[in-house]
Amino acid sequence: MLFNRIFRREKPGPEISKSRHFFGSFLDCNKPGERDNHYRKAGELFRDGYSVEAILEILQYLNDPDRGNVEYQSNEFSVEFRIHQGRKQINGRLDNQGLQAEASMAEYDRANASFLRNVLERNYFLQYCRFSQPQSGKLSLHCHLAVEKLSAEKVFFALKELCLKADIAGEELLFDFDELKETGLSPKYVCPEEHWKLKSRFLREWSAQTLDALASKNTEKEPLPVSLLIINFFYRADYLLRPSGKPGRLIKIGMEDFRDKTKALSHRVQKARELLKELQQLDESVMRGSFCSAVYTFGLLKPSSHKEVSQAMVEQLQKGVVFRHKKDEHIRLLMLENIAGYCLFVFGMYEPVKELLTMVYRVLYPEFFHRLGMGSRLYNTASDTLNPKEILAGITRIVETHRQAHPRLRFYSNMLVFTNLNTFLESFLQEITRLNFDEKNSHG
Amino acid sequence: MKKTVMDELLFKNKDFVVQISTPFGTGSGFLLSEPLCIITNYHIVKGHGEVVVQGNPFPKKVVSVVYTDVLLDLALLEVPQGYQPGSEQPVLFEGTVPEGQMVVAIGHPFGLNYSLTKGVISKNNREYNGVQYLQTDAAIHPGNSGGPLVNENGVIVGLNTMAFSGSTRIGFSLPSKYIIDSLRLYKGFYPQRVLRCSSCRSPQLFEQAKGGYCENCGKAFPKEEIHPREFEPSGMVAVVEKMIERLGYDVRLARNGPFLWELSKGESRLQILYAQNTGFLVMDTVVCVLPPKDISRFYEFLLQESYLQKNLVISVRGEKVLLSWMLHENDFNEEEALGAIDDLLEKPVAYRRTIEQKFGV
Repeated sequence: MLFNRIFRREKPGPEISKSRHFFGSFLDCNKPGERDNHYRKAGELFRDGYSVEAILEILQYLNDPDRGNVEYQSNEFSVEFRIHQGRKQINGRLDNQGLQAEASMAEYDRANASFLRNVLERNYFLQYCRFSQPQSGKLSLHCHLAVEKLSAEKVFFALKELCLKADIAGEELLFDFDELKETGLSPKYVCPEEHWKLKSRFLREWSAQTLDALASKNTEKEPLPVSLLIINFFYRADYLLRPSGKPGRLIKIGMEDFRDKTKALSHRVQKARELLKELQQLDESVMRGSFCSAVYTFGLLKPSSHKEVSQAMVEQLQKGVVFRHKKDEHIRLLMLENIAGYCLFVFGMYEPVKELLTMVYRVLYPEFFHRLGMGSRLYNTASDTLNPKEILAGITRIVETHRQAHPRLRFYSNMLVFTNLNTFLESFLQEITRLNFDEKNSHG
Repeated sequence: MKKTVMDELLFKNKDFVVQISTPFGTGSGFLLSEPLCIITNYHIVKGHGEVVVQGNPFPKKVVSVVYTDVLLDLALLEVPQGYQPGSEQPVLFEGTVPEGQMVVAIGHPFGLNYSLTKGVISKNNREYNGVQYLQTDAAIHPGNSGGPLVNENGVIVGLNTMAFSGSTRIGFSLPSKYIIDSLRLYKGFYPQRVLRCSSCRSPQLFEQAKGGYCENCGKAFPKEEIHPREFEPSGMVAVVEKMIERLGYDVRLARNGPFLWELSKGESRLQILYAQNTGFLVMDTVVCVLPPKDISRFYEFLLQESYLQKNLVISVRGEKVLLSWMLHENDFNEEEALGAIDDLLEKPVAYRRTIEQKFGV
């Protein structure tokens, strides 16, 4: 209660648009230049000994006003703040004692050597924070930095480690140890019934569709489409559905296993099939609570320059040319989806690139987005026709939204070819590779 | 070979086998009495006039390299001052080692104290560069080099020298007969510094060979044999070493590798690691091992203490409880680091007392 009183926002931020959806997790990087300025200022203020002012700059750097992921309030001598990261909220305070931040992790009724040891073992690998027990029966993750030794980098990386570990370890501990009851959940981590039902439906549907498609393929003779079908499923499920809990774990493990090239492809495909079947059969009680909306302050991925992203895309597009010549439209389509999925999974991209690549999914899976309430379908699967008007409007919306942060951003829509699905996607991806950005160094 | 024999072999050799370290790595060696010296591989001490030795009979000491033979990859070191050999002495085998004989390689692989790996002599005359080596399948790991290869009776049959590239299970040892020859040769010069020419095999006093060439046949000695390089730390390594010196430690003795140092105070031992790839300076000290019972209560105690610690982290690694401190090089502050070293050397003692009282460990 006290905390809620403290955390009245000084200036209420804009409300999150009800129709705006955030996909993917741990992708927050390449922040706009204006937010970078806050980071630079923080560095200078820390050097001059103005810790309170400096930490406020850091918090503004971390805060995305659209998401309201950081809340704070301050007076002359101290700052209290709250950061939202996935399932967790992290509370912190800076005063003349230093910077202290803590994520409440879990509570338990009876001590058990296995989870207590598990967190103590995790401590060995932590750089700034540590698991501890603030009170009997409670576990927390906290960090403490002495005030006279603060720098922008130290504060940023300490908070980053604390937030990321709290979110990831929070879920892992919950999954591994039934005795633990999770605490410290972010109020922004919500699972509206219609969302989890919709996402679990699509997880089952996509698993079934992938299994059906695999059934008609011979792994030995068609290794490329088989691999693409599986990996595309993983990328899509991970980015669009963002499952946590058991389905999230299964997808993570499945992806790791499938990418393990030391094993024969036939073995990896077999394991993937089994996993797809398991996903398909997960019951409602498991699915409930596994598809939550959340906001993320820190990203796991390192920021990538657009040059890196476009190089990878161009390489893949070139590989697809042979299938265009062969008129193998099925493989070509799988490869085009793969380009979007791969980039969204691997790179910490600029926000507009991320949104444009999400449009690839909007085109390929119109029903999912339509059900989510994200406007008209960009592609009509029944009639195999694209919706150029909506596509162009979508592109314009993305470019205009980010114009201020990236003044050189231009998308040459007149280069798009709407004759059929593959040709369109190819021309669309080509144009993404040609986008202009003022490349900069960013922390994330 | 039964385990008891292995135990006996280790017991027999524990007082002879020593660890050798330079700023660039570690290896093994063993003590000999005629003349009184430590024998090891040349490649371990290559480029150094002095190295650090440590073993059961003496604590860490700096000693000089007194004899080097590049061809046989063999070096002799002086023994630390004050060392007196006991009545038991290692025995060197003089004959031809039969193929198929059981053998054990003893050393300090990966910096681990006293490791034994067993195998057999698979070939007794594997020739390389005109030298006939013993080929064995006893695993020879990095750090094992320079240690003895002994037979079932504990007699030294060779000096572990190298492993076949890509496999630790094909090792090569220099047969003892070469060691005996070298010791006989060196005896006449003891304790002067001697280099042996790899071409004409004549011994040269270091002072005479300073010109860089063998006086007898004109063959050039390797540069690093004539001009041992001084280790010149730079960057974060230099910062750490300066700090260690400020604390009154001999930094040569503190080094355990290029980025690893060890400091002792009373019963506390502190390891300092500079992780080049991440830029973190990590300091670890062992508080105690895990107690056999009441383990949940013990873990809770550690986690409660963890909450109270401002800078130090308490963790469990294997069977040990560690107290650690970590800082990124960009945030390095000597005062803070010195404070942490102090804490890490003092606090484990206090913790041990408390743990002893509370948990009987």
